[in-house]
Amino acid sequence: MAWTSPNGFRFVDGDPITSAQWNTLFKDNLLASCIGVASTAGRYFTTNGKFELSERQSVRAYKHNAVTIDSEWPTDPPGEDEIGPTVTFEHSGSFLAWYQCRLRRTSGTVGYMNYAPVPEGAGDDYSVYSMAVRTARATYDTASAHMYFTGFEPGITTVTMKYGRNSGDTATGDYGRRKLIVWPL
Amino acid sequence: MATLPGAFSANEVLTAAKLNLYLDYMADLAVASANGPGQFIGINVNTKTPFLSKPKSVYVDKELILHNPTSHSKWEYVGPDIELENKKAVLCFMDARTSSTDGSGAQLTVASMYDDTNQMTMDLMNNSVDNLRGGTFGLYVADREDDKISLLMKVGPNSNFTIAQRRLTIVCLEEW
Repeated sequence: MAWTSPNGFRFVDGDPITSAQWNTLFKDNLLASCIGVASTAGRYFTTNGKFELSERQSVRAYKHNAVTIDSEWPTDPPGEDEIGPTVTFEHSGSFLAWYQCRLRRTSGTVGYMNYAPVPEGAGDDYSVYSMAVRTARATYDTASAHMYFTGFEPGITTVTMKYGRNSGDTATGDYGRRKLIVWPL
Repeated sequence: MATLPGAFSANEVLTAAKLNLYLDYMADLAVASANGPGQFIGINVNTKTPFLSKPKSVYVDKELILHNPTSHSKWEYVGPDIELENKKAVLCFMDARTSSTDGSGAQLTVASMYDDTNQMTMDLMNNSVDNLRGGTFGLYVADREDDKISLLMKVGPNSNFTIAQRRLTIVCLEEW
């Protein structure tokens, strides 16, 4: 329901109140507020635009199995069931992502193994170096990172975790216990 | 915050003054504050008014090598910095690529640039020669309204430490 600003409008004793005024200033405005927008327990509110609120829900996905990667970034693990984790959500143009995995570099002496989210439609705007969980270590670590994505077209977006070594290197690596959480804004 | 309007009573004459109180109260609702997309909504419990919380994220790619030849730990701000601008409590998320070539490595945390004893309780550590990029998170509470925070590194005695590709993101939970 659209919000109509009550600023600048004053009731005056003696003036009849019309149903249009009442419906616009009270009924419709209350329906545009947090209480009017709320539909499901456990969600939060964000702004969707000027005088507009949206109810949002955090999303998460998890893949427990370990996968081995010997390809360049960005790549999917072998086996369709191991692709991801992946989440799909609605937003107004921006979202926060947190991601974690257990990883190690198993071969190669140069280069890193990367684990980072790729939103559909992101293009080349986001460098893997600025947001990935990355390792050159031969022993397992559990590591996490985050990214604040902005500038997307409002609507529904899918984010998929991708894997791989730096371009031109020969490293291979293992990844397990792979997590992704997104807070849409 | 506008005065909470009282209840109406049966047979009470509806006055413009009372109806205008309801209008004033409506003007303080969160939806009236919304000025664009992409912001969380919080409530300032002191003023009982809503505030908008847009995440702020800063990234620094440049590699720094910190050398501590002394027998004591050494604190050094490595950035990036964020001005809190009236934010009192913020969720902080920090990531960095780190490695250590000598000594006991380093710890990384978020601290006030005006008082390095005001630090986030969570920190990131790496005392390995191999690079790892990862992060951690915590809650930072400012003790001044114009606070500015930065990544603060504690380099161990007789240690060399490298840091790069660091990102700091905040989400405001409480305003002054």
